[in-house]
Amino acid sequence: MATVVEPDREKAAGEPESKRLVGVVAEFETQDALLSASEKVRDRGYSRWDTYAPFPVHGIDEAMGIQQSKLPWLVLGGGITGCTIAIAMQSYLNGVELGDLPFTILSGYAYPTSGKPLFSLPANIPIAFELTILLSAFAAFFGMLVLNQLGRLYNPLFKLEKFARSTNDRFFLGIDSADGKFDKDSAASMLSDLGASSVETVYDDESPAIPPMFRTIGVIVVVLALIPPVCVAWTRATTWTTPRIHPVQDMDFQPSYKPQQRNIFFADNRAMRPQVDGTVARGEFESPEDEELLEGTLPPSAVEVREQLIQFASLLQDSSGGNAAAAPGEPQGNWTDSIPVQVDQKLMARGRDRFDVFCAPCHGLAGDGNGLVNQRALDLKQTTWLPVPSLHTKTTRNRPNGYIYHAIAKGVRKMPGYGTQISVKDRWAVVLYVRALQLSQNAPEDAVPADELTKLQSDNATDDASN
Amino acid sequence: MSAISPTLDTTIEVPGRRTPLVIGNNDYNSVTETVAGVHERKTPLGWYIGFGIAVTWLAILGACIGYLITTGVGVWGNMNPVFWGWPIVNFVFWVGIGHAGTLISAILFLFRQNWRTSINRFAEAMTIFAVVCAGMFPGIHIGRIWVSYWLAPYPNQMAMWPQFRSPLMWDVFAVSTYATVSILFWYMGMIPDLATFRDRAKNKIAQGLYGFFSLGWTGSSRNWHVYEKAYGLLAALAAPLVLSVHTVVSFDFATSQLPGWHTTIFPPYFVAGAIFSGFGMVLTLIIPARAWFGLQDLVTLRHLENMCKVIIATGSMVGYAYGMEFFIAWYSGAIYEGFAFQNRAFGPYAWAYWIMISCNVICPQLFWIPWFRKTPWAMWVVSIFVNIGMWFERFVITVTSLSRDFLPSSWGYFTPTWIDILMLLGSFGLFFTLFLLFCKFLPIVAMSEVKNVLPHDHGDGEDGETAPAEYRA
Repeated sequence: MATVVEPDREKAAGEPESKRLVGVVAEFETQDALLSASEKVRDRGYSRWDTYAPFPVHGIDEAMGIQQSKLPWLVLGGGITGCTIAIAMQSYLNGVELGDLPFTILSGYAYPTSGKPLFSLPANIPIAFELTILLSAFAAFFGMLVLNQLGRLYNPLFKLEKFARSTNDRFFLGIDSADGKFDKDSAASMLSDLGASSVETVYDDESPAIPPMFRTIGVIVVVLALIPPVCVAWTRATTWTTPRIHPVQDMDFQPSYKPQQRNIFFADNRAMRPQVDGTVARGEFESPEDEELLEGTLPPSAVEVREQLIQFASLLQDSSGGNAAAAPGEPQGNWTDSIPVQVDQKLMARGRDRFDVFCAPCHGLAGDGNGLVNQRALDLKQTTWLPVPSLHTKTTRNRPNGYIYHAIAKGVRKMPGYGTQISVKDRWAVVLYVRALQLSQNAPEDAVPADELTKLQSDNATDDASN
Repeated sequence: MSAISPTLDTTIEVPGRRTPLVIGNNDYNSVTETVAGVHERKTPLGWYIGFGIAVTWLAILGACIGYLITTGVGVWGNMNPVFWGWPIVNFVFWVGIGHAGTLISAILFLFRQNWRTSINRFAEAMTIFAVVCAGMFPGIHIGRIWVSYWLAPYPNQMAMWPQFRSPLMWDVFAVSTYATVSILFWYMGMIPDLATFRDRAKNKIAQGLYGFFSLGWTGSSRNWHVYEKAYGLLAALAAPLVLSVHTVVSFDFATSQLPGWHTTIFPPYFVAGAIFSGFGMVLTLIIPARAWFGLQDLVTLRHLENMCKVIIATGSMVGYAYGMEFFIAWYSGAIYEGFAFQNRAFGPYAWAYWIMISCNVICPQLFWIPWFRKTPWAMWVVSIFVNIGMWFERFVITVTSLSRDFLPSSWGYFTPTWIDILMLLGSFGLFFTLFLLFCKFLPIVAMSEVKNVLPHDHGDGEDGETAPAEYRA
């Protein structure tokens, strides 16, 4: 590309008639001289003039009367565009499936992920943020180029030999011939009066025509560039009877074995391998006691299995059967009602300790469902918060031990499982303590020791009296 | 080249005085001569030797990538259960290094820390080359590299779109935005200096190339006005961007459920670590460069000292994060989390963990002692340890957590292959190839910005004795 034209010094100095007058340029040795000269030129009412410095001179904007740039508005526009594009793109491409509508090439592809809503703003924020920054940065950079008219590689000023120092250590002031007040001689004399160390007149050539060779090259490049899209369009518009070419095998022909296939690598020629001796598959228990201890459920008896199968078969035949739909989140199981660890005072104390640590924040120390977390959530009017149920309701009291154990380990409804934090034995300890709490609120009269009963009754009487 | 005045000690604090940012008898012209001299002088033999070594490693990297693509990712040590091995370790390592560049150029600019002017170009170049190295690793880690364009949301006949809820997708956007904005920022900052090179160029080709890339810059004050506005805006955009990028990188880990990764401390901890490692790398590069290229007047001891102080601060933050991870692992009562951290410090990778602790937490504390902050070779040694430590930090995070997760039956021990090792060294080859080219052909110090922070009355003809007498030793 033609870039910097070697200055034609002899001619420039000789002021030939055929050349266009560009303006007058004065050189200053210090930035202070430039600043005071700029103020004068500004006050004389010139409009089309500029100063040139190797760095942004402090105070030059004011001295020249430069208006605030519009660039920040461009950047704001870029940012808003980026954010809008990102949110629209993500919600449309991941949240909408339009199927047979027109423009199917741009139909979205609904991704249900981990039960989250199809449009979930928090997950879209990182990309929205990045695109906001990206488009703002483009606006800042390219806006700067456009506003400064950069990218014009040729400038008549480059013809002045002295002007090369404008990017090193000298300061220049140029008045454009297009200015209404411009007069070559008066401008030059004014600038030398203002302390310029030298003043020069700049001339320019008429812009030369593009050489024919470049046109030929341009045509050839355009024609060559058209070949790939034409090939693509042609292949897309034609049908083929031969299978498509597989330059890359990808996963089209996989060497993996399918179930029931033969594999001579093993002595028994089976690709499927039996269980290795001495291992236990996940979810499989060595004995019924293990299942009761670890899962809180009892293995079904043969009769129960048969009943379940019959029920299942009837469901398959009658898909409209209504009673099958259990409430969502209600774990089903053949719950045990015993506590399969040794029950003693120590276990009870441990249960109270663990309950106070892990359960009481929501369920409350007394298990009435009014823990601090619950109170805070209700104070904040959290719409997604499910009020914590009391452990003393009839339903909960009638739950088998295994169910409560399972709720602690795996969670129930919105409550997360605490299995990772509470060990198996501790879970049973908590079950025991929950039972004790429930008994404390719903004991029959004859289960309470006589002296305690009198005390409670007198407390109640005092309460009633105070009310 | 201007004379160096070793008598001027800018590391002394004089109350009520601004410490000079440039020492020696420098004026506008001598700054230009010093910086352009690096490019214009006869290339020293050392450069050719360094470049030869770097290009050799780059070629080895190229060969390894070719082998990887034609054979498959099995050539790496990535094997069940550690499928994120060295490629991701290297990715996070390199992208972290990049952060100091943007921090120096953008955040210090916004805080009006003028000392950045001498080192920002250098640091920004480091950012870009580090991001190039970083971007390469996930690119070749995806397995079927020939369909890497599936990462982009483009209309296709499969009606398939990227999963925008995945942190790996966020990573694609964050790192590519970061690379683009860093290049724009670097290039824009360089336009006036490229114009200086253009105006000094002796042959037609150099004139043409520098002329093309300086876009016809004249130094017009009207242009400077818009340019400064744009530079400030880009800095303001790059500052949150740099914080977001390593945050998003940390999401790759933190949004998974693996013990040792699933922690909310990751974003700030990763950002602090990134800045820490980046400043370590800036020191590693700039200490030899300022000696070889005679930049001691522009990059003074005080600049180095300031960077040492940033290293103490960020190194301490990283140390705090290591401690806090252990505390939370214990305090949460989650047994898997607790095990993950015991395993880190005392398990089969304890050697890596304690290398990390000694390099990242203990080593930078040496900078409390003034002698270490004022002795370039000592700083350089510490900075090397910081680089090593930060690579090991990523190794420890990635490999210890993956090698021992929930199921003891699937535990394993990661062993790198020789391809892993060659590719890590090869990425340094790529980095140093680009860096040496940069030193040779581009302005390595932002001349126009340094001229702007020279004392105002420090023009031609003066002897430059403007440094206050207090700084004279």
